[in-house]
Amino acid sequence: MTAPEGRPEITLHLTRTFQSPREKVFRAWTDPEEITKWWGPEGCSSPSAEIDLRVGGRYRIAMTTPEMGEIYSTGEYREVIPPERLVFTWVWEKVPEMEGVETLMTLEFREKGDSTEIILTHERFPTEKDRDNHEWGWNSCLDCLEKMLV
Amino acid sequence: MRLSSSALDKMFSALADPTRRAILSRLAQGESSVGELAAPFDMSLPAVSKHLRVLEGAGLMTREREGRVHRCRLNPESLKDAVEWFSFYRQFWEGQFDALSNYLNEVSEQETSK
Repeated sequence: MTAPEGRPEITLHLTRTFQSPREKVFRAWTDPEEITKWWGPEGCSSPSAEIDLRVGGRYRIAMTTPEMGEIYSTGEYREVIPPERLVFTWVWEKVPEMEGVETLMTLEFREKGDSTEIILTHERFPTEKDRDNHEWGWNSCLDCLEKMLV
Repeated sequence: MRLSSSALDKMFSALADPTRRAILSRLAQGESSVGELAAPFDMSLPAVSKHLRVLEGAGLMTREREGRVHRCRLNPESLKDAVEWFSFYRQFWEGQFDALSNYLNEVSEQETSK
């Protein structure tokens, strides 16, 4: 797939399977109490989360980090289809290098027996927000970029 | 690394095109003239020049004139910025997945021990 003319697209894709049913996994991402129980990579944790889970609703998740103290990720839900799909904007607050730079997250939750596969897409998208067409092409070129730096 | 919204857009716009990525790959091997960069492509020189202007505008490439020859050079610093942007997010989300996995395993262990 190629990106439509004038709509540059570079995306990050991650996929992982979790040994839990889909409803549980979806709830872990959307229930504020659940979020504070696991949110944050190694060394980080979340003291609070505010979630207004509906299209147009906003969220704000706090995260304490060793290097930067308390930072926040915040944004607006664009799609909410429990327990299959979440699309939301993502902006960091209190992270100097990233302040105000808006990106887009998509989470797809797929049932695989008793397990759930999450397909995560994180992308930069154009500042014009007329994004009604979800047939975005993508070119993930992290590998080729890294090769260029060798 | 500090990338403004518009700098990110310019960089990603530049990188989203396979011809431009091929040009960058070629530049990663060493500086080239515009003619040398255009050679592999079945494309007019103006079309290639357009791509080069996009790369320059994104700060991925610099150009110096030596007489009538334009020598093009990769700017590795801005490429590093793009790589860092991805790496930051990739590490963040991998870490998130690790944390989620641990949490869900704990929860199901607690449930089965009831």
